[in-house]
Amino acid sequence: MNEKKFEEAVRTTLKELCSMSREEFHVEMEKRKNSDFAQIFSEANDDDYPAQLNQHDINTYQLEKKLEKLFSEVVERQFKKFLPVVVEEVLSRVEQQASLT
Amino acid sequence: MSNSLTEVGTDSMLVFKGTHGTTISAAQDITLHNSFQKTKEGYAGSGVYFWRYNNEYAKDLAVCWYNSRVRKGKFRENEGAVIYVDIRVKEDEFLDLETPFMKDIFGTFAMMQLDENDDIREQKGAMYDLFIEQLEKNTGMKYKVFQIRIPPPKRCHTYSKLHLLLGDPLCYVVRDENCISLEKIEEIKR
Repeated sequence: MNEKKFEEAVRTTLKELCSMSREEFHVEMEKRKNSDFAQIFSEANDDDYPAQLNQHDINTYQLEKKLEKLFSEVVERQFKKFLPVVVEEVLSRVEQQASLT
Repeated sequence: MSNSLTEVGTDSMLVFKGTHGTTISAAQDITLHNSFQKTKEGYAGSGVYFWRYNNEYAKDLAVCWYNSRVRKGKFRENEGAVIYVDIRVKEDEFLDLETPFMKDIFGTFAMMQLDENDDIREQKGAMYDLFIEQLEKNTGMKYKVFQIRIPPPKRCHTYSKLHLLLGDPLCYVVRDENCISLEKIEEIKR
């Protein structure tokens, strides 16, 4: 089917569907409300989709990343703070051992 | 698996790539019988759904879809898999519901039939179903694959970042499983 014929068929379909009464339309909707297509949309669309949900997702993700970074920084800081002390302690023990032998 | 763009073959065949998130046992069953479980017969929306795959996020969408189904208790097991497929369909049997022309048509349909009491989110799928059924009558064609945008699953961090930029991700609905050829299955790692 060429593009022109396809577009004509689409327009005819639109006219037919738009000429349905509200009652007929709702009967047709009711028949299809449990179709898989409808379910896919309703499952994906539940709650506060889309903007708020995705903003919430983005915020949570960013907070997780910030927390991760903060945690790494704290660990690094603690490590830097105590490493020289630990090294000094180890060295002095090694020296003590060496002097004993 | 190659990450090639959608190809148009010499014999007017379209080839698309898709991902699908499901349970390991369902994936094994598909491999064993080389058959996808189709949803209800007789509806335009019935079929197997695949996220369009020629990008970095189609796998994430499949994983997120699987996870969201687990959270909702739709799957009884919590070991998942991503299925990668090729979808082959004749150009005439493919329906793109995302063209500006089709969007205008649907916009008019919605404006004419829906009023302030209707929840468009609830009606959307049924409206597409009705439209495709009627269009098939008018064209005498059977559309085996159609392309549509589906909202991304919840808690899909990768796509959430892109959503404001790209809108809803593209999905292929395959109504004739002969169009599907399995490429590979990948276990979802926890």
